[in-house]
Amino acid sequence: MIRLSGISKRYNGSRVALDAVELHVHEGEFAVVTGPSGSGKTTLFRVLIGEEKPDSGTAIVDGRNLSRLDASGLAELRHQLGLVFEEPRLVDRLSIIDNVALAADLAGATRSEARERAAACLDRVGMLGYRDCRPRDLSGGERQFVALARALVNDPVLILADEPTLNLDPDYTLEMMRVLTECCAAGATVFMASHDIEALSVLRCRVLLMNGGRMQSEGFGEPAFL
Amino acid sequence: MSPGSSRQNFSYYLRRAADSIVAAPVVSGVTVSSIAVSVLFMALIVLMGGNAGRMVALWSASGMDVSLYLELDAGEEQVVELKDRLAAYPEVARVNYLSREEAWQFLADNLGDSAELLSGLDSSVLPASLELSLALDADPGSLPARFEEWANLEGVDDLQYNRYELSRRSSALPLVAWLTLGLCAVAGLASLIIVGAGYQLAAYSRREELDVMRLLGAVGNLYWGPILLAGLIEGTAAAGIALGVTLMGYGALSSVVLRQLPLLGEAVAFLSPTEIVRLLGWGAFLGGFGSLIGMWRISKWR
Repeated sequence: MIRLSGISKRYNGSRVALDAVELHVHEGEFAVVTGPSGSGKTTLFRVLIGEEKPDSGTAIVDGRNLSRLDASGLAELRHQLGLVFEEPRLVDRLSIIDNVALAADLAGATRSEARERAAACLDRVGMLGYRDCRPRDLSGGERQFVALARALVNDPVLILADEPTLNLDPDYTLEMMRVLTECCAAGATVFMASHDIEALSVLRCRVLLMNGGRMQSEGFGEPAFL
Repeated sequence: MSPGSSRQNFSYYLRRAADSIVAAPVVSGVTVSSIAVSVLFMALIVLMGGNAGRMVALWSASGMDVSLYLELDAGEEQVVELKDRLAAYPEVARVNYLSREEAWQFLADNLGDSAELLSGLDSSVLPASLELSLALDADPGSLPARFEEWANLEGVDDLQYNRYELSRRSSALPLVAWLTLGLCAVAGLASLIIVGAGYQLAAYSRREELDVMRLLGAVGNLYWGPILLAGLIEGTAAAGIALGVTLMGYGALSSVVLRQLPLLGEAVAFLSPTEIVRLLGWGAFLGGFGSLIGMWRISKWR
C-alpha cells in the first residue's frame, strides 16, 4: 500500500528532514511510526499525501507513483485517503455534518448522498448527536472525532493519521485507537505517526522508530524498545 | 462511489462556487462593491465619452451639409432615383431636394435688401440640388472618398461641402475617442489593482478553509474551478448592479439636461447594447481575474 525508497528531503537546502527513508506498509496493515519531535514524522506524512515533494527517492501510495501524479491524479488519490491531522482542521462556519460531508462532496458524491454517509460516519464515532452543532461548540477531543469521521466518509483504502491523539485525554485516545483498529480489521490500511505512549501502548502492530530523518529500527507490539 | 461522475458535472462547480461566495459574506460584499464601483466608473467614462462624441459630431455636423448640384437636364425620374440611392448610404441622415425655383428664392431671401441684384436674371440659371445632412456617426475619414463617389454619380454636376468643417470633425472626433480610451485604460488598471487586492483579502480570510479543502482533494481544477466561477458570478452581478445604477442616474440627469438643452436630444443616449455587454464582460473579467490572482497570491504564501 505504501512503498518509499530512498526518500530524502532537505529544507532550505540544508536542514535534513528525511534522509534516504525506506518504508513498506502492506495492504491491510496497521503500522505506526514514532520518534521524538523533529524526527521527520510530519514531513514523511506530508510526502505521503503529496503535500511535499521529496528531493530524491520514489514514493508509491496505493499503486501510484506520487512524483508522476498530475493535479487530477493527486485529487483522486486524496479522495481515497482518510486523513487525520494533529489538529482537527474543521471549517468553523460549517455544521458538524457538513464538515464531514465536505470530503464526500469533494470526492463527487451528491449533497444528499454526502450527508447520508456523513451521518453514518458520525454515528460510527459516537458524534451523531452533535450533527447540527458548529465546531466551536465542541471540545478539542470531540472535534478530533469529527475529523476522524470526515476521514472515514469516503470509505478510504488507506488512513493516514499524523499525531491524531496529541491533544486527546486517555479515554478519547483509547476510543480513537479502537476506531482505527476497527477500520483496519475491516480492510483499510492504517499508517499513523505518533509519539503518544498512551496510544502506542494499546496497539499490537508494527512500530517504526524514526530519528534525525532516518528510519532507525522497527519492532512489533508494545514499543518496549523506545 | 464514482468520484469522476458528478465531479465533472457543472453542478459541483456551481455548488462550491456558491459556497465560496457565502463563505465570507462581508469580504465578498467588499469585493462585489469594489467591482461595482469599478464598472460604474468605466460605464460613466464610456457613457460620457459616447455622448461627448455625439455632441461633437452634432456640433461639427451643423456645418457639414453637402450640396449635390444636378445637371440642368436631369429629369424628375432621375432625381427621384438619385435621392433614393443617396438616402440608402449610412453616412446620409436626410436628403432634401431643392428645385431651381426654391434655390432662386433661397438666394433672393439671403440677399435681403440686395435682392434687386437679381432683377433681369432668369431664375433657371441656378441648378436644382440635393441637400444632404450627414449622419452623426459618419466616419469623417471615409467622407472624402464618399464625396468623390457621389460627385461622379450620373446626373450630378458638382458637389460642394465645407472642407474646414470636415477637417474640424476629423480631428475632434478621434480626440474624444482617444481621450475616452485613455480614461478607460487608467480606470481599468486601477480597477485591476483594487479588485485584485480585495480578492486577496477574501482569500486570506478563508486560507485555513481552503487549506482543508485542498487536503481533502480539492486540487487542480477542483480547487481553481469554483474559485474562478465564483469570481465570474460576483463580477457579473456587480457589473449588473453598476449598470443599473448608471441607468437610473442617466434617466434622472438626461431628462433635466434635455429640458434645458432640447437641441442636444439627438446626441444624448444611453449605452449601446454592445457597450452594455462589454461592461458586463469587464465585470466578469474583473471578478474572475481578481479571484484567481487573490488565490494565486495565497497559494504562493503557503
